[in-house]
Amino acid sequence: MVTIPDDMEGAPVVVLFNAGLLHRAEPYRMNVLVSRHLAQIGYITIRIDLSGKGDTPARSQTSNRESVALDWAFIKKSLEHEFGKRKLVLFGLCSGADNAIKIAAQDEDVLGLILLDPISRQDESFKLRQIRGVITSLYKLRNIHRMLRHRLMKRHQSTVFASNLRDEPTRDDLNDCCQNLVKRQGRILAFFSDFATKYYNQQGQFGRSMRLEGLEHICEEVYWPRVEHLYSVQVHRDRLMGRIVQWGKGNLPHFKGAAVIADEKPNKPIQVRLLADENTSIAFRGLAVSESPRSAGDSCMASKPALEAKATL
Amino acid sequence: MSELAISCADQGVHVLRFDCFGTGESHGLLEEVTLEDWKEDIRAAIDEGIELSGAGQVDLLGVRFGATLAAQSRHSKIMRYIFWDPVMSGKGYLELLNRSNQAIELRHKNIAKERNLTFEKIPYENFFLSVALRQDISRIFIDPNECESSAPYFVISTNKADRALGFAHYEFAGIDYDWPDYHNGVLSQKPVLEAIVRRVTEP
Repeated sequence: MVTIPDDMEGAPVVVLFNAGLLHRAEPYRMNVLVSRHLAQIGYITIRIDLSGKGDTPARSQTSNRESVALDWAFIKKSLEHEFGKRKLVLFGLCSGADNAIKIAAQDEDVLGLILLDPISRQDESFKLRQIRGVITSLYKLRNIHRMLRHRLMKRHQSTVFASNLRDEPTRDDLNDCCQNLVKRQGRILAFFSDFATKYYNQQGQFGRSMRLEGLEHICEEVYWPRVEHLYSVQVHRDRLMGRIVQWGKGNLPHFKGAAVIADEKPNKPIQVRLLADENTSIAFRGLAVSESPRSAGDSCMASKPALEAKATL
Repeated sequence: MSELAISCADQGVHVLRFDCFGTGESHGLLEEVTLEDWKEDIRAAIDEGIELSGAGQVDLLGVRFGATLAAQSRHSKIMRYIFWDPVMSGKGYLELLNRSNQAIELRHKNIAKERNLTFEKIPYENFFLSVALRQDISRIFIDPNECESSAPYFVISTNKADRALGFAHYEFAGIDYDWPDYHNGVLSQKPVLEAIVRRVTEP
């Protein structure tokens, strides 16, 4: 699903990835709202179901990493065909952020990242802050026996939690991603919620722990320990949108800057159909629908027997 | 729903999925929606599906509150209604939303206590619904006897207790298991999908 801004001239493209196994709209329509807000301020946005998620069937016999790489190659090819070569910004929550990091580590056209609960290294004082958090919390001290019992029980359970299946970027991926962005004067906006407190407990930790000169200048971190991982409260979602829009507005001139290659196809019609090749024709089965911040219309998806739905609404 | 649509299509049935106004990938925001908009969306989707596929008859499938909405829709081409774990009344649905909001609020209070944070005084709502929409929703319900005057209702449920709701056509499609479900029912959906595919492929 593509959302197109009023002014296409040099507009960067934001690609929004699925979180976990969720549909591209995301819980509470997060990706939909982010797309529309960013399109209103001048970004082309595209929401995509990677293979095995939402409306895209899984690839067989490929690892997640291989599958994401194949999907990305196809996405880039389609984007270049539709919009010409443009600067790319990737958006992802949780495993979506993982995929964004892995791609940015490899792809030089990625100039921006908006990450919600990405992985982060722990700095030297992380443990100290964690211990201080426990001993200064009366609630935690009073319930320490429950906490220990819970931990012991967990150790003996063989339960598979969805969060344990996360295919996190490696240390090298994270290094390469940050180095590439520093080198290219990219921009990172990283949000850390309640979910991230297991490995992140102070604003600035992400940039500091990477020990990479220049990273702190391009990386904006937001630490919201009261906010739930999926932004289940509307007020929190509104704050998230506000912060993303603020960052997007501030960095748009940078993304549109001199280094941007001129748009080869500035006046494409609003309706967009993505390209399909032999390996990925199933990836976009159904309708490729596009929208504009100014237009109104409903979204629907058709499945026809023995026929790929090709209609565009 | 994607799996279900593909499975039905594999059996030769045309499927159209859509998001009502203000939900999913459709335009608008929930606070702008009226119940009439949603009913109109359902009618428009039926017409669109018929036009795209050339089909003469339609099965209308609704999941949870979608079933409650589907039960309000009348169209001459509807052959049968299929309800997956229906929410029987709009009032019940609003209560469910309120309970969910209260659970989030309580969780946040506990987190605040645990981490020495001040508790935020904010409206704990997953979604803002307009007063008018709330009132409209609270008035709608599924009447199991209604099907006598319209197309038949088929209920496919993962909860055995739903048998007592009094539907003439009821099928339990859950699975009996004794392990904790950490995935919000994702493990138990296959039998439901199979039951729905069986139902829609019936003449």
